[in-house]
Amino acid sequence: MASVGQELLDVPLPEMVMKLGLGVAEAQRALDENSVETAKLLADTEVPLVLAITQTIAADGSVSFTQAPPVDVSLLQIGLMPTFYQFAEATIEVTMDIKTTMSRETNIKVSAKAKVGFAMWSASVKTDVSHNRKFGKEVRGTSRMITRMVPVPPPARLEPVLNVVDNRPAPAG
Amino acid sequence: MRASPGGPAGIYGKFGATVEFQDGPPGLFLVVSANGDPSALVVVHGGQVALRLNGSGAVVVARMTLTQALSLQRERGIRMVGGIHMNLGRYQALLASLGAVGINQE
Repeated sequence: MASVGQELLDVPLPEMVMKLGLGVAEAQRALDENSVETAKLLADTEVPLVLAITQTIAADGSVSFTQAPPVDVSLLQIGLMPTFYQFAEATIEVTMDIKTTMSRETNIKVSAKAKVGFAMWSASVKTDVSHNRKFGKEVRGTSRMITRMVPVPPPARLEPVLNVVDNRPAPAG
Repeated sequence: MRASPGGPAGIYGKFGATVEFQDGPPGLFLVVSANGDPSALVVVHGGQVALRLNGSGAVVVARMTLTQALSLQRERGIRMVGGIHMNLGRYQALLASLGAVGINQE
């Protein structure tokens, strides 16, 4: 019968760690792909942005509004950014409950028989001995894997940097 | 099994194991449907439509939790659900570069 120590050694911990690592990597790739797809969509979707609205209150108190012609800008330009997620932590918990039992049972059965007849007699004694040893083992195991995912800032080069170059001559002063 | 909309956590049976997602705070998600308006599905999964983005109504910005977003993503009519956030600094920089200067009173 395998010892308790051997049972613990048989826990495929390296395999579990490897599979958890691969699972996290695969999930991370899927999350990144999703964020990149979102970024593409944000860059491709344009909305008209009205930069100025003029409210005019006339002398008679009537109010009118006029707006500047809208400028088409992408959602990414406006500042809607894709959220990137990252697995910050991964934990494996393995719990084992090992129970071993052993019982020994001995049965002895003795029977005697005697017979007396004409000028003769006979006797016999019969003994049956049986030994039973029973081994029992119960192993229960549970494993728990916990990963924590947190939002992280998008990659630095994802958003285009806005540089304004003003070549107008300085006003004469 | 599908997460209960609006519930504290979603529990899924996957990989022969029980997979549980704990809910975080709600955030913004871009929801793109394959055809039609995804607003009804967003609401069914416990989210709120915050903004409609184009004329066809196939793209909306919804406010929902990650669990609700993952649950929504399994719908056949949904093409993509992606987390987004608003970068206010970038928005202000864009407005400044385009000449928007706030409220002027004459």
